[in-house]
Amino acid sequence: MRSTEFSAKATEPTKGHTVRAYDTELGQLRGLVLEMGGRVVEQAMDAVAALVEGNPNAAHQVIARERKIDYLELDVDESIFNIIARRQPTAVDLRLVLALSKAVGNLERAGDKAEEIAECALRIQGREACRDIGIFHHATRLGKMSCCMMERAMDALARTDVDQALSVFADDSSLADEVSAAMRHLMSFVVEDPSLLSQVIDLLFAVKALERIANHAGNIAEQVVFVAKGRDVRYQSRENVIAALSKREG
Amino acid sequence: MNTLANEIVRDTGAITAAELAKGGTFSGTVGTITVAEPRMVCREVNVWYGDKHAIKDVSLDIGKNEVVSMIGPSGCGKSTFLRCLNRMNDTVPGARVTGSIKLDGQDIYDKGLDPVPLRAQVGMVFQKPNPFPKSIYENIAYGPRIHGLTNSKAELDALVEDSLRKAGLWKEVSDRLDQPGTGLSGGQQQRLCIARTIAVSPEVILMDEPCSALDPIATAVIEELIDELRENYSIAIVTHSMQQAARVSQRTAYFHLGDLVEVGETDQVFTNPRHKLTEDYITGRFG
Amino acid sequence: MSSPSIVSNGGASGSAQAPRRTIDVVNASLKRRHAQERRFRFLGAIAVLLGLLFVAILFIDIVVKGHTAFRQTYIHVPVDFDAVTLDPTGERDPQTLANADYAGLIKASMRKLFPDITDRRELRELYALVSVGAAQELQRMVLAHPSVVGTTRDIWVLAGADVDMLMKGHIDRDLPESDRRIKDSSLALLDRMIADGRIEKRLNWGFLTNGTSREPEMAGIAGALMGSFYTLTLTLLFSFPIGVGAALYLEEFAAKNRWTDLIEVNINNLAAVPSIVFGLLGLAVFINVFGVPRSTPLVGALVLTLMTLPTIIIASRAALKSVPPSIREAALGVGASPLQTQFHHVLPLAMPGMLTGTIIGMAQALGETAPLLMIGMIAFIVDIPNGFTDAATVLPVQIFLWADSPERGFVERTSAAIMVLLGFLLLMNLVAILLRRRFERRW
Repeated sequence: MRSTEFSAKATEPTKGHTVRAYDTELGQLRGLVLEMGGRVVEQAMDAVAALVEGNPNAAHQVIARERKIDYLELDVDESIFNIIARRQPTAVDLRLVLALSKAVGNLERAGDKAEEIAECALRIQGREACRDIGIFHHATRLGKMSCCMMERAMDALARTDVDQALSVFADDSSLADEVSAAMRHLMSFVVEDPSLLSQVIDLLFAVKALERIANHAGNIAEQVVFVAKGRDVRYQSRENVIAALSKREG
Repeated sequence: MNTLANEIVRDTGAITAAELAKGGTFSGTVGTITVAEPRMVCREVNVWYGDKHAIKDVSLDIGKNEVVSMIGPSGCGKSTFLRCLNRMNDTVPGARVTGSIKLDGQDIYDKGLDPVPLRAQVGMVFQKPNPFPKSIYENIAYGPRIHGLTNSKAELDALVEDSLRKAGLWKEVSDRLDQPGTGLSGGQQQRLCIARTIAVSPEVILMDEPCSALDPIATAVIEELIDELRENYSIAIVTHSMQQAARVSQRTAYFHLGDLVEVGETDQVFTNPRHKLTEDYITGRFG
Repeated sequence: MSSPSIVSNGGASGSAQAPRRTIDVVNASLKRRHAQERRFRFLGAIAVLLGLLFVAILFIDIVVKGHTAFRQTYIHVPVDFDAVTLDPTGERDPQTLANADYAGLIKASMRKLFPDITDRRELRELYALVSVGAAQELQRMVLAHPSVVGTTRDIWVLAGADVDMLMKGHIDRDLPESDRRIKDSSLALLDRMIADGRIEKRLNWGFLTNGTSREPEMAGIAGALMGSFYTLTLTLLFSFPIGVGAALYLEEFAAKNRWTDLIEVNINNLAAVPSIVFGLLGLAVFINVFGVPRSTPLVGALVLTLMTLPTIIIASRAALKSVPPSIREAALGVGASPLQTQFHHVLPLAMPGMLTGTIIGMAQALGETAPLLMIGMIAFIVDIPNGFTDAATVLPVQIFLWADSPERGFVERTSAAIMVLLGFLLLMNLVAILLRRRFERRW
């Protein structure tokens, strides 16, 4: 598909553009994306907290703040549009701009998932839920893992840090195991007490949503690799990618 | 599993522009200098102007029916290299060229080779349009006449018309072939010069910043013309505009202070250049 | 004018002033700058006017002195072409006709005009009124038209130099006789002829068709003109190809090293060498070593060629330098050989400059006297030269010789010859200007 070898360069260009306004624009663009990422992480954490603590107000807040994330996506897309029109970015700048565009798409959908978790929380709350700690255990764990992955993905994007991106890929596999375990455990609750079915269903939705958020974090990490290495590593096996990138000379 | 690893490559220990400017040595051209069907093969070409070492060990192929663009900052030697390809550097006093440059297998710097017919085989279009101060007809007819390419007036007329058509100029000047060539607009003059070059049936056309003196519309017309000419000729073009190089060429070569830093498919060079110097120049982080 | 202060703190006035704007500073010095400009223009205009004034004085002086030479005094006499005297055998043999006594014929005509003069001394005075050249004129006429033998015609014959001067007013009648060249008795005769309408000033074609002569009334510039013509033609023939060729070679083909620099310096210096040196060179080398016949247009042309070569080479090189290198590159790029590039492209574009330089060189050569004196073109040559190896003289030398002569008649002829020379120079310069205008191209 893609042609032959290429060389790795230092991940961040050491010099700014001769035209400083170009650097400013790219910096502002990146800043917008990072802001969006921060909000998404915040949304996810608040939604999981609302779910676990049974706090309807927190859940409503999450749902209300979702709008802001959508508007940020519009701002970022407009900014990207203008940069392409005016600056005709090439090489690493072009890859960065395209990567940011894809990252923003992923963030927006992650934000939607956070909203879904909040809605699950509201539904559970309305039904007089079982407050057994064990039933929420996986949601809590998965919530922490997903948010951690998303944070690290955003960090990788901020500094175009390939190692950080690789750690996100590594977490991906352990997350898959955790999700399978969560689903088995939750099913066991239903077997014990069939009246908990609706609650478990909602919890399953929430778990799936958290898995999706983690996947989006992985996608963003793939974009970071694209910017740094010029290689599109989407749809490749994660083990291969980790192995290949770890083998490079430091 | 390791195909992916092989596709992502190691550092080359790239040198920076500042280090090179201070006299550091360049490690070697990155990318593929060869092509499957080359028209011109240049190996280890060095050019000195007096004591100044202007081109340092450059090796490059120019393929059949392709456009190769040469980019780089001012004074990097791309024009010098271009002028080696048709021995125009012979006219510069104190210029010395070493290395081998072969056109279809024949070394053009061979002692016994006459540069005069070579310049008919490897034509050149210059930065500022320079039609002869003669009529349009005479401009085109001069080359074929001195090389004896046609046997009769009718053949010459046909050749002139053919060249003007190929250069996209026939419709505009067919009714005023006896008018002086210098009376045309800048873009038309440049197309006239291209027609003049084509008239002697070259195999390779060299273009030294052909659009730098033209307005955007004339430039676009010439770029379209280059695309059409590609079907019949090999073209090497030196340009200051990276956007033009990106639009017009299939392969791009980046020169820096006399070294050929990188050469490769244009798409690749402009989306993912392999050498840091190339990337710095292309993204505008240079200087 | 004192330099204006940019900032002034108002000490005495008690209030701080705003710093002067740049425009105020500029305006302050403006009056001085404009005054300088006006002064310079005034001086320039004065210089031009002075120059024109001097040129005008020169021209007016020459024309005033010389215009009279274009008219000559003729006397109308009845000439009896007596067949017995001219052609005793009756065969119209040219030899016989040529040797006949035409002077006697004229004397007879004069006696017929003034039958009352019988004294020998007075007769001699009468005969002296007519030029000695009149006899030659009659001879030419008879040889050309033998049919006049046996007829009597009224012929306008050339008057003597003194008569001519009198008619043109150069001899003052009011001076006492001892101060005049013409005696009172001659004056009386002339007055009688004037009263009879037998003396007239007519257009002096002889000035342009005769060679030089001891007698001012017969002197013409034809010999000198032809000599100049032959000399200049040869000079052009030699110097143009050599000059253009040398310039072409030095500018385009020769390697740029110390030798060519040396040659260039020497060529520039040669242009400043006094022309008489070339005459000495011509004498020593061409005449003594190569044995070229002296006093001929050939050796004159050789000397003048050497003189004008630097001018032509310098002008040609400048013309070649002014051709933009893009033309040469374009020609080379199409595959023209260096020679083809030069002859098909560069030379045609440089030709106007080269031609101008050549014509200026030729105009200089036309007016050269000193070197030609050295090689002997000063000799008194009466015959009009017919070829390049006939002895000849040139117009400037002729002027020099005539200027030396004491006779009154030569004063006006000198000026007239100068007028002719200046006329040719003006013509050549006009041609240079026209050529340059016509061939100038914009590229």
